[in-house]
Amino acid sequence: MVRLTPEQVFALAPDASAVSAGRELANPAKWACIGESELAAWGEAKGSGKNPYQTAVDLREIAYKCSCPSRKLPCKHALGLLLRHAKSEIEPGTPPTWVQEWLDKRAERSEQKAEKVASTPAASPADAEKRTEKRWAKILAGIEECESFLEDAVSQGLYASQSARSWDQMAARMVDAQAPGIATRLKRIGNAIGVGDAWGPTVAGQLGNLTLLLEAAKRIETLPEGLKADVRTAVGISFRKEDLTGEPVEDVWDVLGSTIETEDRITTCRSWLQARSTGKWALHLAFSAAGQPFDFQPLIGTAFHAKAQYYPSAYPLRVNLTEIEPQPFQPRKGGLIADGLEFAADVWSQNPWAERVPIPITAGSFGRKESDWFVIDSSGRALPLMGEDPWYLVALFGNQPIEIVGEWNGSSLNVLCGSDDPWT
Amino acid sequence: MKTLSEVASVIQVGTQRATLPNVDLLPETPGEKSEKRALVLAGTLDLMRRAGGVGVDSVKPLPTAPQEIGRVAQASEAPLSEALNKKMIHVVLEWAAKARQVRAVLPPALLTAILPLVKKHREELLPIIGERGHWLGQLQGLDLSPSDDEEFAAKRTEDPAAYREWLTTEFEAMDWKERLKAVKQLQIQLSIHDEPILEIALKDRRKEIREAALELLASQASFNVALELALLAAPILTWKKSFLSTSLIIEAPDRSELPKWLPKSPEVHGMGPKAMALIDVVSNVPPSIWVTNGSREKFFEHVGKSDYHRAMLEGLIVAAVRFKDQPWIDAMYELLVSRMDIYKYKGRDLAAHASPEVFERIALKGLRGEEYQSGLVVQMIIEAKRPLSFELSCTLIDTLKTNNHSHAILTFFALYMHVDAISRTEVPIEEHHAFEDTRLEVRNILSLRKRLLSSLDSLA
Repeated sequence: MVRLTPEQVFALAPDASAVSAGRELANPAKWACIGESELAAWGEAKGSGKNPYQTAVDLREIAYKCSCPSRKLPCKHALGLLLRHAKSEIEPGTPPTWVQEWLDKRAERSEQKAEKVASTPAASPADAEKRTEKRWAKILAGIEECESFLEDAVSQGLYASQSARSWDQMAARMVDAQAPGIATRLKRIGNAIGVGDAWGPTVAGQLGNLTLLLEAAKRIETLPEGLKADVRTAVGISFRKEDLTGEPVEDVWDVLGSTIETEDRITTCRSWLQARSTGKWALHLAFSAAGQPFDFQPLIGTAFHAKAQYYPSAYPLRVNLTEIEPQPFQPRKGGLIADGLEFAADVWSQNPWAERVPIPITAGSFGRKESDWFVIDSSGRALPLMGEDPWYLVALFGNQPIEIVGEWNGSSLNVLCGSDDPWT
Repeated sequence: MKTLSEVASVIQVGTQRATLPNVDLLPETPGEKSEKRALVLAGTLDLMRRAGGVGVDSVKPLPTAPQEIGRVAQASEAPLSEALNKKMIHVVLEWAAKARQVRAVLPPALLTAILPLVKKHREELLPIIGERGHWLGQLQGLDLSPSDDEEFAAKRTEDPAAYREWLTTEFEAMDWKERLKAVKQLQIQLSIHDEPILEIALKDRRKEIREAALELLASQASFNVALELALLAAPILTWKKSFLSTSLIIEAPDRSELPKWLPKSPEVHGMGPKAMALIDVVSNVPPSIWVTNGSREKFFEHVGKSDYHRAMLEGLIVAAVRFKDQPWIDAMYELLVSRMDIYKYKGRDLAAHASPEVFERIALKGLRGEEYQSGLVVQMIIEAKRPLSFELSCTLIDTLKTNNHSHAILTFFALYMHVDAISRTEVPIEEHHAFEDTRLEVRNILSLRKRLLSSLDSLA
């Protein structure tokens, strides 16, 4: 059973008012018939209506059920219940019928889904190959157009093609060509042109990286299997988790960093996990559209035992998790920046299109050079930071050395987590 | 990486106008377009930059924070963060006042949210940011050094005579804002020895400084200015006794008869020059001089019959607040609320300054419909912006909760209500569904304030 901290419960709230209302509902006087088991917590919350609201939380994968009319997810009742659970205020008990029915239904649905996947007759290899060939031909046609577009832009110079619109139009063309990964990269380049003082080398790097991707896609048949998968992923062909064939890695995974980003109306939760026994890294991605909750959102500072199946890659990092069982958090210590950069070099030398690499830094502190911020390790080595000023962490820890986990993109580090709790 | 910058420069201006640098990294392929070569070069160099990154070693870490001396109110972090997220600054300041009393300091996690507020609420927030806050403020380039007011007040408290001497020497050299602040601090341990420097300030070219000096000079009966003002006030009122009754004659002075140092009061609509001169005098003498024997009620009754009653009351309101004369403030507040005249006069200040007993009594009677007009009383409670007792808080909730037009104002009052009044918001009112949102909002505010204040209890 996962026991979240109150801070982790607040992190699940959809907005600040839900936090406030959830806190209000953590009052024992608000609840009746409350209890919890290894699988779930449940209770009946007093509301303004005649009947109390029946609220339950699945503690295995953090899912919610509530009979209140709120469209927020989780609603204030679920947050209040989780808060009470986080504070260990709920007595163990046997789930009432309505909770058990809900849990059974969830288990049934999950089984049905697995069965459906298993029982779906695989398309005949010939048909599948035909479809893949057809799509790839479309992509190659798009790539040809995209190459001409890039060469024109370079011929005229980016100063002359600063309109983000033309880049967006080309991106739309690549969506039509069924290469959404290329489309996203084009949009990013269009948006980066002319922004900031040092956009030239940044955009040149992005353009070059895209060019190498297009070149690799044209020669995909000549590439080794892992890199082939990386090219397909970077182009935008997603790999179904049902098709994963690799041996699952069974371990306890500590969640060391997590970030949520929204691009093209899709919200992505990127979570970096580390295997406790081997120190191997894994990236879990969860997606949501239109404000829907994530299927599973690993929270920083939690851990779980799970089977992780790596997606194919020249340097596999992304995983699909199954059979998740919560465990106490107990990460290992980070290292020096040099160690992190060595790891990054290893990843990029095998998969040039990996976007970000996790770097854990032990005894890191913050420093400034002119207006740029850096994180500095105990050897005096520093990496520039991206995004917002780290004033919050500086204030919180008084710039004493702390454990830091960040994502390195080759230019700057995005700090995901800082802690003064010496990780062992 | 220099070469990537060079390739970037070519890409920026275009291969039509610039030539690629000679890079040995990739051999040139015959017939290869220069655009393509530029792009591939950029990609290769970018990959080398990323994979070969070593970081930098010329950045010094910021200094570490000093040891915190105060006790950190860690238990306040969650509710305070909630108040800051909801931009409930009044609630934050209420917590800060209590934190100051128990010598607690802000949890460091909230410093980045609080420091931007220090400029506006310096007096309330500066004492609770602790060593960590001062350290962080300094790093952020904020001016957290003591203000002129604080510095002058400390100097004056430490040695009034030395302060006086210093002010006399420096007065002319100071800019007007400094002069004003320095003169105001003479109120600390004001004595007859301060009269000379105050009289210099009374002739200052800035009106603000003249007014500050006059306020202090008028406050002590032994000062020449106070004596002169008393002499000016003396002929204004004459009690005329006849066989059956007593009447009051008010004689307004001519402005020309008044000393030049006496500042003119702000114009009041509908008042002539004589009435304005009367306000100038009355507002600068302690109100107690007008009633030496007899009751204030009788005095007000007689004033009410005079042609100058409005000017007299305007002057008395200003004087009562200026000289902090509590019985007069209370009497005038009650008079104006009972006559529903509080808006006609500049009497709104009286609500904020009335004693808790009088303010509460009038408010409770008004809300219960026993005396006074309830709408006016509610308006006064809004304007007073002062803490409300448990009884008054409960009465406000009980009175307004069934009023479909006014219940929403309870969310404003919740900032000032007694936090235990939360008990009055526990149960929804079946027949007043419109009140439900207000009830929950009031509950949230009271609950937050209660949690915030009680989070300091362990440090008290």
